[in-house]
Amino acid sequence: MIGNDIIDLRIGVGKYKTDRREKWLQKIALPSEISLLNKWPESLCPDILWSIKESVFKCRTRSQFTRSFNPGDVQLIELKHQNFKEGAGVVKWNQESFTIRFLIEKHWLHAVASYGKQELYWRQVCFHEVPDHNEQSLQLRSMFLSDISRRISGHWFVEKCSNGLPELINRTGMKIPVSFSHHGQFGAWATLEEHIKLTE
Amino acid sequence: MNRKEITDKLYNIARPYVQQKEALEDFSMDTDLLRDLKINSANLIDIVLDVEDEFGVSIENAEMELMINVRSVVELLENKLDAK
Repeated sequence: MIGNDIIDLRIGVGKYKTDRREKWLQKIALPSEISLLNKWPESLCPDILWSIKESVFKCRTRSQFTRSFNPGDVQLIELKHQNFKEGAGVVKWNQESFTIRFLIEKHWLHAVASYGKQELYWRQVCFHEVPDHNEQSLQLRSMFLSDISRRISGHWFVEKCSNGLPELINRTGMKIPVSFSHHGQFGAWATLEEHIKLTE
Repeated sequence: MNRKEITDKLYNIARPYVQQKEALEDFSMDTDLLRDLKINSANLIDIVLDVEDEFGVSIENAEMELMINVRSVVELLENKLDAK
């Protein structure tokens, strides 16, 4: 199972009211998480923490469908990084443990969550224009299908399962869970490498 | 404050975060914040903060889980305002 979340750092989360960033962070962070992030650039803290928690929520929703989300239930307990550019960590949600990985570039931050330490296939794309929400979703799926066609043969398409979660499906009915995310001018997807390799 | 006044205020709070603007025309008690209005999940936190400021109430993390559609938010606010 997998989940991902990308953030356009020029917009950020809760950033558009800049005086509220601190309050926003307090709303989603546990005291232990504030300690974990204390050496991080202040401007990145709400974005990295949200992106991690959102990707974990999406990952967990694959196995235990739920509509509601309480960020306080999700606890980041370990976070390692290299110069605040890339890293990994561990998140707990009740008794479950998730592995998270992230990449940070100048204008975006991308976090991916999985149940184990499986190899991932995750990519980020930039939209030339910022169309409306629905159009951007369609563009992202189209870019993903174009990209993945270099790895797998045959006719594949993306459909949502009964819980509204996207899957890559072929004509034989084979299904590969895929997670999409878009924000501002950036989009991203993630799936498990082992699933892709099964089709090769 | 009656239910209509709460709903009107909530409409005005949610409006800037709505990505599916056409869905605002059918804004009702059954409107789903994420599915119908396509509100970014991170913006739900902004809505919580706006609601706290506007109504002078505090919304706990566990209560945020209840904020799925307009009805659930309005009922949560009614209970909080009654308790004030």
